[in-house]
Amino acid sequence: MMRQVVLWAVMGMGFAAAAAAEPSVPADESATTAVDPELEAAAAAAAAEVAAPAARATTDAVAAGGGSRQMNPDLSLILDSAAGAFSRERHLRQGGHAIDENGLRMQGLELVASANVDPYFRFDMAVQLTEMEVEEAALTTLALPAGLQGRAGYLNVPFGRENPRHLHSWSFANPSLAHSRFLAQEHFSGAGAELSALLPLPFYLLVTADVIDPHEATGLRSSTFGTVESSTSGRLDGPEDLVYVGRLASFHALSDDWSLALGTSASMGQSPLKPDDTAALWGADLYLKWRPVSSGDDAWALALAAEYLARDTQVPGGNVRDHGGYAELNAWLGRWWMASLRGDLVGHVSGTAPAGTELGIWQRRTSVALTWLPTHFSKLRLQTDWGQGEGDRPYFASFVQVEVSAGEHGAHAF
Amino acid sequence: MFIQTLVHPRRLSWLVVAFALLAASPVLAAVQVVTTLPDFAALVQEIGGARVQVEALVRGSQDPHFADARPSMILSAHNAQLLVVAGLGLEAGWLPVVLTQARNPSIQQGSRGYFDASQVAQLRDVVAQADRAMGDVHGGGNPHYYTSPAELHRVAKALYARLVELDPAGKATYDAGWLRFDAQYRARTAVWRQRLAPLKGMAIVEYHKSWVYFLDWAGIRSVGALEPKPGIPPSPAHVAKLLAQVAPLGVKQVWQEVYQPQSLSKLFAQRSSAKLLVLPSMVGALPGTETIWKKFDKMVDLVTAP
Repeated sequence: MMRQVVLWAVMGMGFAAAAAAEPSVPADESATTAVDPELEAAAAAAAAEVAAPAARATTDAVAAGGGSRQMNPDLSLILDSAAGAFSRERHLRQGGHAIDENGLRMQGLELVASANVDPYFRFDMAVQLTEMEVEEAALTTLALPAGLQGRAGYLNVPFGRENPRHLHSWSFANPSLAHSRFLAQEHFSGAGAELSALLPLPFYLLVTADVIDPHEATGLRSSTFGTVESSTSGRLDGPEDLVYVGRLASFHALSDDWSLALGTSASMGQSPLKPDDTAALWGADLYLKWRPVSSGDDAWALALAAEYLARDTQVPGGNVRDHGGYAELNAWLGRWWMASLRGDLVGHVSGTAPAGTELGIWQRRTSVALTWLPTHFSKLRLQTDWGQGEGDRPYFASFVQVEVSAGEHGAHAF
Repeated sequence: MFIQTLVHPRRLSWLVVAFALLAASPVLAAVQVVTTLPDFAALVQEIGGARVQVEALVRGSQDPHFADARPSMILSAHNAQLLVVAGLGLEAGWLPVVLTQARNPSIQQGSRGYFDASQVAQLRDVVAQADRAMGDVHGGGNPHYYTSPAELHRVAKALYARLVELDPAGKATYDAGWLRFDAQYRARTAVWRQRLAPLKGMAIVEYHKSWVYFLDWAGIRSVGALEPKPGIPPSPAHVAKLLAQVAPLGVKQVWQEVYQPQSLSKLFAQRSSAKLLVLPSMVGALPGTETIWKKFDKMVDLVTAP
C-alpha cells in the first residue's frame, strides 16, 4: 500500500514536471519591427562570436580530463574522527555519531553523490559507510509549476534546523540533547514523499509537508514515533498509521549584513509507548546571522541558532508532555577559525512517565568549541562539555575532532 | 470565534485582494535577470537599460567563493528569466542550493536562461589534472576573468545576444545598448591603456591569483602570490621565502582584494619596499565603483598613482 502511494506520488511529480517544463515560445515581435541593417549585422556578428569561444571551452574541458567525467555525479567522501575523554563513567548519552566513552572513534565516513538526472529531476544520496546505512537518497523535482517542489525517496525530514544537517556541517562533535531526545539519534528520517511550495510573496516563505512510512523495515528513525511493527496489528492499516510532518520557514534579509530565518514545524504519528495511540511533536527555530559583507570583512560573522521542541506522548494511563531546546552561538574569527558556545536543556512538563523512559527527567549541558579550518576542506575541533542529568553529579568531557572532505564537496543550505 | 471572524465573507475578500496584490508585485521590466557577480549585473544594466530588472546575488566587497546561500537568493532566482554565473566552480559552495530550490526550470543548467559567462572568456590557468594538493584550484580555468576589461567586453557581447534571444521584442533596446556599450568600451580602454603604458613590465605580487587576466591585459607581471597555493592562507615561512625570491626583481606593488586580510600584505609590502594596493576586483567593491567604467577608472587611478 505504502509503496504504491510513493510510486504514484513519484509518477505524478514526474508528469507534472515534464508538462510544466515545456519550453515557452517568446512572442517574436522583432519580425515586425523595423531595424537598422547595421544593428542587425552587429547582432549577427555578436552571436557568431559567442559560438566560437563556447566550442573552445568545451575542447578545453575535454583536454582537462573533464570530458569523460562530465555525466558522472559529483562525489565526495567525508571522514570525521574524534577522541573523547569523560570525567565520569556515568554521563549523558551523547547521541548519534558522537563518542560515548573514552577513546578514539571514527564518527562517520560519508559518501555523498549528487547529479541532475535530467531537466526534471535531481538526485542526491548520502551513505554512512561506517554503518553501511543510507542517510539520505532522494530525487527532487526541478520543474514543477507554481513554486512547487517534490522530493521522494529516503528523506531526512525537514523538522527544525538541526535535523536536515549532516555530521560535517555541525558546529560541535555531538548533536544537541533535544535533537537526540525528540528527533532521532542521527536523523529523523524515513522513506516518504514531500511537497513544498514557495509562496508568491515579496519575502521568502516556504511551506513543506512530508508523509513518512512508519515501517522499521523501510528505515523509520525517530525518537518520538513508533514503527508499525510495534502496533497491535503489526501492519499498516490506514493513513492514521503514517508519520506526518509540516513546516513553515521564512527568511528576512534585514540588510546586506543581517539575516533572520524563522521556522515552525509539527509532526504526528504513532506513540511508541502505547500501541495504536498517537504522539505529536512541535518545534520553533530561529537563526540570526550578522556577516559584514558590505564592508569587505565577510570572513567575520556571528550567528545565533535556537530551537525549542515540545512533545505529547500517549502512554498507558494518560499523556506525558516533555520539552527542550538549545541555543548556539557561532563566531567566525576570520576565514580559518570559529568559536562556538551551546546551551542545552531538556525536561519534563506534565504527566507520569513510564519507568525506564527518559520522558520524565531533565538533562542539561553546556558546550564550548574552537574549530580551526586550515582550508575549506579540512577542520580540527577542540570541544569541552559540562553536563548533568537528573539525579546525577555533573561531569566534564573533552573531544578532539578531525574532519576531511575529498572530492566535489556540495553546497550548504543557509 | 477568531476563525469565524476571520472567514467573514467581507474580510475574506479583503484578504484575497491583499494576497493577490502581494503576489502580483509590479514588475515593469520585460526581463528579470539575476547574476551571481555584480559585474555581470552592471553589464546587463548597460545593455538592457529600463527593459531589464537585474539583481546581483553577491556584493562587490564579498568573497564570491564563500557566499551564504541566503533564501532570499532562492526567491530572486525563482522569479528570474535569466541567470548569469561566473562558472568554473567559483560559486560551487552556494549556487547549487539556490538553483535546486529555485523551482524555476527556465534558469537550470542547459536551458537558455542559464548563462555561464566563462564559456565566452579566454580562460587562463586551465589545469590538465586538478588535485586538491594543489590548493583550491579550479581545473577548468582561473575564474577571476571579470578583472579584465577585455573579458568583460566578451561577456557583454554574448549577454547582448542572449538578451535578444530571450526577449526579441526588445531587440531595438538591446541593439542600442550594445552599440553604446561597445563605443564606450573602445573609448575608455584607449584611455586606460594609455595611462597604464608606462607600467608595462612592472613586477607586482598578488595575495590570491585573482588578477591574472587584468595583468595580461595591462602588460604587468606577477612574480608571486602571498598564498602559497590558491585558497591556502599565507604562512610566515612562505612569505619569507617569497621576499628572498622577489628581492632582485624590484617589486613595486602588492595587490589584493578588499575581502582579504591585510596584516601580512602590509608587512610584505613594507619589507619589499612596495606599495600595498587594495583594488576593486568587482563592481561596488570600493566606494565610487558602482559601474563597470568607474571600477576600471578606480583600478587605473590606484595602480598609476605615484
